[in-house]
Amino acid sequence: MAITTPTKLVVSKADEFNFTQMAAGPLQVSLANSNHLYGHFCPNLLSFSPMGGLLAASTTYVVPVVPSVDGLSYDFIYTVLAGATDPLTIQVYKNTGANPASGWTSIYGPTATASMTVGHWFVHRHSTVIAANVTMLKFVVVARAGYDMLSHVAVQPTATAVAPPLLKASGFLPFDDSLISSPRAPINTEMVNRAKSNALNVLRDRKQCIASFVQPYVAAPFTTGGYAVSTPSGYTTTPWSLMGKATGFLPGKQYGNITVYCLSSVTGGATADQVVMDLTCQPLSSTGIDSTGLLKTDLSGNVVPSLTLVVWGTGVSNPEVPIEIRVRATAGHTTYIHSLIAFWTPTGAV
Amino acid sequence: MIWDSLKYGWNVNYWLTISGIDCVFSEASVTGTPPDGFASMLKSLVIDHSAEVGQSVDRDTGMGQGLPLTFSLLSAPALAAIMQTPTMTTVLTQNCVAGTPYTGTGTLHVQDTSAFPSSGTLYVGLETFTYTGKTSITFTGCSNALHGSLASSHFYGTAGGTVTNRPRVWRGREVRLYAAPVSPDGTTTGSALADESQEVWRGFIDQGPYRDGSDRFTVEALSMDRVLANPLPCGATGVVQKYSSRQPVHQDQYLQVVIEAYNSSNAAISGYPLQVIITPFDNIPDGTLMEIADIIATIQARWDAALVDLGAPAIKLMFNTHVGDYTYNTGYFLYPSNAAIDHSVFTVVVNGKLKVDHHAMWWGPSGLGFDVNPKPIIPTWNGGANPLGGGATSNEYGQWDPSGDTGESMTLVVELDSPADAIPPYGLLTVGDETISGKATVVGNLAYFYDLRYLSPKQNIAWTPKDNAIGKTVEYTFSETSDYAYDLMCRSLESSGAGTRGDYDYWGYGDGYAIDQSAIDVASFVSGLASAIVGLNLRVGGSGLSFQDMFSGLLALVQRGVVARPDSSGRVRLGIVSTDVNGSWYKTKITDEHLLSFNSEPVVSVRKRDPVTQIKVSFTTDAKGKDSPTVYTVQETSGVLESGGQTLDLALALNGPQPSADWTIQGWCATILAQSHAVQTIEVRVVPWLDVNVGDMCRLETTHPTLWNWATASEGFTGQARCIGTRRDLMGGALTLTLVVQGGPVVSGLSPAARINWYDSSSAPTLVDIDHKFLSYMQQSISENAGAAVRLMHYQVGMGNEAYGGYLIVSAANSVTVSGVDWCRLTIASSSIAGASLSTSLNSTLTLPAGAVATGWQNMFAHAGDGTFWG
Repeated sequence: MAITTPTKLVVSKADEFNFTQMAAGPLQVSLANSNHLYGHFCPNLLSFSPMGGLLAASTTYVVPVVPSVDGLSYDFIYTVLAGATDPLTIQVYKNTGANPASGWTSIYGPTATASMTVGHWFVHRHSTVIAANVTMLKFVVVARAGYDMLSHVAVQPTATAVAPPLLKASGFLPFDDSLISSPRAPINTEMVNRAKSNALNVLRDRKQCIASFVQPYVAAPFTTGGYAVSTPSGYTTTPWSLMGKATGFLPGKQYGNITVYCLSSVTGGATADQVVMDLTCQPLSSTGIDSTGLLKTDLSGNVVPSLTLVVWGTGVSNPEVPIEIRVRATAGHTTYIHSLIAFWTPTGAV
Repeated sequence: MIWDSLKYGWNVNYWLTISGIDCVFSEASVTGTPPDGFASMLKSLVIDHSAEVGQSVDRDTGMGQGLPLTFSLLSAPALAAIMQTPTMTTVLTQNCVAGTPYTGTGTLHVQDTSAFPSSGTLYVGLETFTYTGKTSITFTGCSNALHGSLASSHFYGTAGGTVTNRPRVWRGREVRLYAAPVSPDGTTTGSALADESQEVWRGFIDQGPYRDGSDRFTVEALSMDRVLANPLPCGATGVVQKYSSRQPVHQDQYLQVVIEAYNSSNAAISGYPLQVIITPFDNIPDGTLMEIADIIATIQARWDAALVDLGAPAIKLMFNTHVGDYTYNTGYFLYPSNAAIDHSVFTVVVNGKLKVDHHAMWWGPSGLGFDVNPKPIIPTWNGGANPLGGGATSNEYGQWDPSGDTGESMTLVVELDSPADAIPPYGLLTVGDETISGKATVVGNLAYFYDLRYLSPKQNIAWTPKDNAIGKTVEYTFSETSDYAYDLMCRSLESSGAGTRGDYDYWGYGDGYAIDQSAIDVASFVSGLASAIVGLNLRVGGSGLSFQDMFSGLLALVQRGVVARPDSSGRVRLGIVSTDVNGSWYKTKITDEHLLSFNSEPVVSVRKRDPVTQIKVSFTTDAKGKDSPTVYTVQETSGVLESGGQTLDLALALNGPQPSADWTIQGWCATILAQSHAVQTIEVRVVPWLDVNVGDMCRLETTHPTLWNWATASEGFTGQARCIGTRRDLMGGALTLTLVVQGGPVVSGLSPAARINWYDSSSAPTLVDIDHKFLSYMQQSISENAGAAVRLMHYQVGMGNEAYGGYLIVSAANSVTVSGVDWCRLTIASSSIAGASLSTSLNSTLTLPAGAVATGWQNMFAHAGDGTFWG
């Protein structure tokens, strides 16, 4: 008579639904699986390898996020290649606005890590709640300048049991076995539908990072360090520069929207339509390659509101999506991308 | 329901309409105005001699198999005027497009109107027009789609462009049969004939009218669902004349070359950047297909002209042929000022979808900061990329990543066998024995097929013929992929090419059956298939395929059928019905008092079919099997060994292998295998007024000894029965039902669950609103409980302690009403809310009580441990 969160999924065999005595049995397994999903589906909210080489004395990264609406706790995992034994000091801030110039609140640290071993990988972890309304995270890493490399940062939901409050904003409805296991209990349509709707709600609430580009955040007026695109004056038509390429791969999934958040700055000129994320979709839609799937995000130094790109991968499992990021700058100016994160969300029938 | 009147000695008068014919044919003289669209009535219908009419569905194919209708029309002067070959004929000189409105003001352009009167009626194909005036080559003041005919496209230069003063074509005209009650003294009711009538049968003329005896014409018609076995015509056929690489060009495509030059201090040299931009296709219609050589030549010509405008032939732009063959031509580059140049940057930008093969930029002479050995610069297919990526050091240039370049796209040039009125812009192409996908445009009698690709899972690979394609025959037809089976089915039914048949008239001319949406119960397709078929991506289309070819396998697997049957609208429409022997609540109860013993046994037959022990499912993108099919065989090994393999072969039009669908399909197969052992088919003769149609779930409660209840080992039968066929004797109205019953383990429907939308009190409610769809269920719950109140259990979904929400007692008759448009309002006689109060925000839901306290009716639905089975 409780809400349990199995630590593993149980896969029922098809014949468990064929002419077995009417009982909770396979349905209860499905519902319990949905509880497991809530507690143990932990896709990466963020996964990035920051550019910029060795850590400076203090390095800042500002990254857009779309956390769960359920206000989950997230595991933060930092992987460092140590060049010195000095511990790092890490602090994480949150922002609920659109302008990284202000509105930051600390949610973790400043916390000193353990000492590191030179030439060895070092991992630091912590768990911190990210509220539903958070739009950006700022990571400030203090290190011995020029020695350490922050190789990777991952942020993912913390695995945990389904716990109160039971009313979840994501629409997930915890399964309690008291009704279904009571004597001569009604086996009803709501129970069957709940297993499916729970899975969909959890999948759609927990955005998965499928592409990232992050480099140290340098507030305007910025230097010429880092990766930037400059266009000399005299161009009447400014060309696009290929900044980077990734491949999204989601086995077993057929549908999805890719939502792109970009944080960048310009020295001048146009602030809109200066960044493009191009998907060369595979498989093809019924109309062939759709290279009009270009998404131009605004570039104003603010986090861009979510812009859904295209629905891709319809129809065939294991689709791959080559993702290219191109940037341009108005003639005579420079465009600098602080960070760009692409999130995948399942849509439609799953 | 008109058949109820037969209980009281009333009779039935049949009348029917034939589309495009301005006359209602009736058995008897009737009062009442003709239905809309018809001006006259004729007492000439003879229908008594017709065999039974009715509908049925084949569970193994999911296809309706409506019975035919044969009727006669007695000779009469008014009929003679119709039964006459055309005496006036002309032909269209312009296409008559279905979407064009002709509401008394339209014009038909014809060759010669001299033989026709100044006003009158015209027949073009199956469509009927009237006109109010004429010139020598036009009929004016036209109205179309009259007397039940549908607006259609008619093309000049074809047989379908013939215009006549009498019906030239009869086959394919829609026949709609109605029954109207007639009182014992011969009176018909209602001021309009259609007021009290019910549609009984609907279909299309197959044979006739032909003279039958000395006094009548006879017509044979097939049920509407029978047309779904007719193959759809191929979009186009022809022979390959040529294949080459062609690409569409666009007016906004540009080629930009920018040369920057800097001195040793990294300052830009005066006069730089030097920039040339050309839009080589700005005077060519958008989307024109051009061969690569022509594209290159066009770019070259524009480039040369642009350089002339610069005052010097600055850069030679050379284009080479395909991969592996780089040939370079010399050229030279002239700087306006070269002495101070330290280094330079050379940028080429090709935007948009310009697909240029390889072009090599060459510059020189040496000593000016450029390498004399040119490197090929390969543009990306998507364009828009700076191929050089910047850089400001000497001799720096770049090659950009061609991975977005899909390579050359083969184009087939096909000489069509006959002019194509319209071919789908995208579809399936069969070249010899290969089936691929591609796009098409038509110029005269040539079709250009391009963007040719292999089918899934190789759909991102451009197709190249495995051998010489020239001279091969080509068949081209539409193709569509979708995740929604109901959408594809409705499009197949409605598509006419003109977009006039309804919301799903989407495909081209000849790609669908052009059935008007008013003849389709679209809601049943959505509700019957949307949740049943999830996670499959389908591809339909292919030359010579029918609706049955495309969808029967899927329908059989999910135990659904498409059948023309009378429905709640009072019309006969094509709709989706369930053929599953198991179901939830029933529509009609059939008891001994309904069985007809007059003239024959009430139970006509009982058959137990040989159980299916093996199901073979083939997946082909082209259901004709032109691709290598992937076959599933799901079998009951013990059944195969003991009784041999009774195999059911089904074909699914999946868009390539879909491993994620494996479990779903195997689950469907397992269900069919499990059910087939105990399914019985029963035919019973029942009274005419029993309201049962194909797909309805009934409850059969009979003691007739011909039936044996295998579940209880007793005579008679009590249990659920799915109606899969109805036959009605037109003389007396007697009904023969074909029912399938589950002879073995009983599978009951899931208990319902209704979310509470509103209540007047959270702790002691007297009124509660739930979704309107539960209205019939609640009414029947009370009715089946002899009018006594019923009990519903309350629980809050997802809030924990779900077993402890208490219950509500819904009071008896008149306590279930409609609230607003969307809600069913329950009057609560008493309640015992425990554990949690009613709350909409906390998902309060009503369901059935535990089996121990449920009524007999409620216990028909699934409860744990009730002796029934999952199925």
